[in-house]
Amino acid sequence: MKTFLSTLFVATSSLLSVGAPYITEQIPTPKGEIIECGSIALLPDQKLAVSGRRGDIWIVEGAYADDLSQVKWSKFADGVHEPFGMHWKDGSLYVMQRSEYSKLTDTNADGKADLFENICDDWGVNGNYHEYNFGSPPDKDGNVWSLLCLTGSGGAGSDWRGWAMRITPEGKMIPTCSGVRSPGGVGFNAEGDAFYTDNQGTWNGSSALKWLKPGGFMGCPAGNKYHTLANLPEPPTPKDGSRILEERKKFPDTLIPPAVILPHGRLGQSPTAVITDTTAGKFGPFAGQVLIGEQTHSQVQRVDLEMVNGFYQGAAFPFLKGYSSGIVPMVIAADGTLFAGGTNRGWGSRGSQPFALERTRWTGELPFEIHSMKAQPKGFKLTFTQPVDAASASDLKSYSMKAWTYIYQKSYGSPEVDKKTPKITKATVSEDKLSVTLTIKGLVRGHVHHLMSKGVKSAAGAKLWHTDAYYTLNEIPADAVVDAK
Amino acid sequence: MTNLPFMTSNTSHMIFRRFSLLTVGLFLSTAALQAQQSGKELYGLYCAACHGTDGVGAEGNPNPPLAKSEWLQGTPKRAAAAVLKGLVGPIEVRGKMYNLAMPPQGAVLNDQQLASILTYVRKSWGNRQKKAITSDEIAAVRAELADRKAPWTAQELTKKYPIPRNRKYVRLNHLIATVYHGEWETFPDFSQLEIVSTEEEKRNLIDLAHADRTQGVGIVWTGKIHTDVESDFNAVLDASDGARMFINGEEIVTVEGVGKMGPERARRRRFRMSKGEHDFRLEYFNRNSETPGIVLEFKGKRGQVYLSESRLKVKDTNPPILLKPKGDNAVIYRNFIKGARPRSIGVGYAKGVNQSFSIEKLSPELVWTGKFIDAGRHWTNRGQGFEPPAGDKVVTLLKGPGYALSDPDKQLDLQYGGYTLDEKMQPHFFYTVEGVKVTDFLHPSDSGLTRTLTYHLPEGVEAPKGLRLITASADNLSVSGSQVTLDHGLTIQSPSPLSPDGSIPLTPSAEPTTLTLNYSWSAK
Repeated sequence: MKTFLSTLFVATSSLLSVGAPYITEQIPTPKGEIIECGSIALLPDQKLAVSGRRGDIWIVEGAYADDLSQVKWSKFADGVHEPFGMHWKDGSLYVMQRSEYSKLTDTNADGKADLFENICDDWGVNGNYHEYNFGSPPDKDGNVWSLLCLTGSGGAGSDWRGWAMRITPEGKMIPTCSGVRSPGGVGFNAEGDAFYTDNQGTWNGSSALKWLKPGGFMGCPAGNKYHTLANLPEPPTPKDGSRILEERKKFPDTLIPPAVILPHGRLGQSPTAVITDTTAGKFGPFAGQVLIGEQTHSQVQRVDLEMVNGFYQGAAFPFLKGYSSGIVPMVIAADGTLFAGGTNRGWGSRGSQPFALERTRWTGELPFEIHSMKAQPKGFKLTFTQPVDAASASDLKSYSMKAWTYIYQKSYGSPEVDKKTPKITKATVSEDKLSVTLTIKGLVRGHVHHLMSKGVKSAAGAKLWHTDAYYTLNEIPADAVVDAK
Repeated sequence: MTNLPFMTSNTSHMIFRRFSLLTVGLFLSTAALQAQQSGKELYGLYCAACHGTDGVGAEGNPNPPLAKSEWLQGTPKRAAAAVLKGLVGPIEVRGKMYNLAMPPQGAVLNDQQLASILTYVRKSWGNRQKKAITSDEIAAVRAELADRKAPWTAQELTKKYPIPRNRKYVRLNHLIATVYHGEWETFPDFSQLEIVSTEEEKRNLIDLAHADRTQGVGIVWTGKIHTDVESDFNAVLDASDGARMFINGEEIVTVEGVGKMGPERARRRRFRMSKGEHDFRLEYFNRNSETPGIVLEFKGKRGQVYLSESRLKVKDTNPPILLKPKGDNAVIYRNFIKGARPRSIGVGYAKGVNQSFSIEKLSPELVWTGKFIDAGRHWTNRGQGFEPPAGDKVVTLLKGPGYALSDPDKQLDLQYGGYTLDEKMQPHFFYTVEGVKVTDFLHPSDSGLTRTLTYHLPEGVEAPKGLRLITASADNLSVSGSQVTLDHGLTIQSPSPLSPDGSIPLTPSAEPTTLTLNYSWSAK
């Protein structure tokens, strides 16, 4: 039945995606098994390891094949504590459990792990369901990041809750960033800097992608007290009801503003996985950009980052939608296959299946899309995936912009406040027709700038695939980026 | 629609509907309709992901429906309060239990936005509450609840803002309770008995509140039962002790004799009732039950309705998921086990013996017999809390660590290393104690569990002074010779005499040494 259903699904999605740039297919899971995806790791020989929230780990073969009805699942391990984060290295599977970072090895080559080694378990766990632990793959130094979710929605009831840790290959735990609330995933951008998603709630007016700058404070002070456990400087105590920009003036070096805000309700409401398209074009035109999983809305968002005045910022764009369950883990393989795992247990999702494993591939169809959006001293520069139609792209009526920010407060979430309407005064199309420079009066530092480009057409006459972009303007650059002509 | 290439048929339908409704909205321009549209849009932004664009969501949606929800009837303050402050824990909606947390939205939505959303929700999907909610009404609720920090529980919310009961499609009217005294084992002929009191049931619900004593009492309720639709009904009656219901003089459902409430004695009967009013009679008695009670539930065309103040005992919202060893193979459960430290590994062995190994104490901490564990709590919804062992004869072995030094003030250096699995999937734990390498292996024996420990002093490590294995440190512990006796007749047998506190001195050397302990539950 499962095979039948998944065949049906593939057929449906193929029908709908004639001429579509991406195709998403469901990878059938074994009959009768409940695999609530928490992490996915890429293994040699086009195998995957998939972990479920029930503590099960599976090896999947055939997930890259054309005929997904032949996919084979075999159980690798059971009895692991709610893992979120896994990678394969030198013949072992490294697993971030809730209560332990572990190395699992199949020493007798029977396909099942028989050696479970503790690498590090130096943080507190008290039994509260909310004390999740999200792990990254190794960073550029070989360390794995562990993001320790708060106890409940806003407390820190056991050691190091609300902190980001690095764990060295030798198992040493390095407290690295404070101010974490409720992460949904952790990964790296193309430069190898660590980022995580934090979810709307206390001290988080909206969900956001945040830069884990070592030594930085991510914004939520609930776990600050644990700095005494390692003689670290006390993290900032922000003022309740303020604005991030205001508090940054008091803590200019430690309070790291959210790099890219994912406006709550508009662009998802529960961001999860953070990955970078490292496939150099095999996954379409967005090589090097960051992709973010979205659990509630069953989507993938796209983020274009840049660094201005020493802080990351950038634009978030809607990208892929219609996944079957709530996306939590994602990985992208070198051949350009994106694997996304889903679960909606405990948190509902638009995709109505309780769990799913899916893959998305680029069809080769080039979507007409804003490829990147960069801040300029007096506006933004947009780069497109295809040449624009100069008439529509230089017409001011093709664009509109709104800006707002959020209250920085202890209460759960925030309305959109301090609303402004920056005025686009000029739209200059580049000679190669691939970029447009928008001159804007009334940019607001610290605000999300929502650009709608409904009227822009490609030279071939196509409308934009997605017309919305949300740029978080932490810093306004002083010098114009020199146009390469 | 070309912008939506990846939709499944399901989502495309959803978006299509939304799209066409928005299109209709564009041609309407009165202020009222604009507000309505805004409520719908805001609902789509903030609520629909969980509650569905249609107020229900897909089949099996773990979030409660808003369509035809009794929680939206009557005062709008109830819904406003729930949205402003959030709602946690079990909640019954349209006869089904849900158990998720709704985060508070009071800091996200302003009064006008919340008023628009509630106006939209209360008049949509069969909720039929046409009156628009104003931002002033929301502001008043916000001010009234200004001091409240915690999210609501369903119970608190209904206590503060009761759900009106008059909207039930099947309901009792003109209900009178007549109270009698006597000790019966079966139904007496109430018409021959002296009446103690006659009372009006103002809420028109079956309720024991009018009984002037809990035992040796009988009540007969008479009145009318009204149904808005002709329907087949399933009537479920549960009582302690006996009860029987008549409609138009016909005995419909009966709980015989004396005994406790519960699924064994509750009775169900299917029957048809035509639209309109019928004579209703319910007889009840309690001889000497210490837990008297009565519940009457009707299930028909339009859902489930309680005609009693009490409700059937809420079923555990977590369906049981009992983990069992497979044949000779052990099963491992790493999660929060009641009575054990948070960092514990539960192991269910063949032959019905189980342990929870503490990674903090480096010893079995709990042992028990029979069933292993029910994973339903942790594998349903968000998985909150500690789950007790599912079996019997649960014995807590240790209050403190599994090892000690002669100097009690010295902090023990315990390093958990991990485990290997043997061919029966049984874990062999390995760890170090003060640098001494230990393997710790439990497996089932004929009378319980056998624990085999090996100690090995690595080169360059100094033998720790006065190192002892603590076999047990529970309250009810008695030591005699080489045996410790604990609760449930559990004994731990050591190969050599034990210290009076139940510990075993260890003298690890470069040559590995083995220690075997037998854990047995005496057959009674």
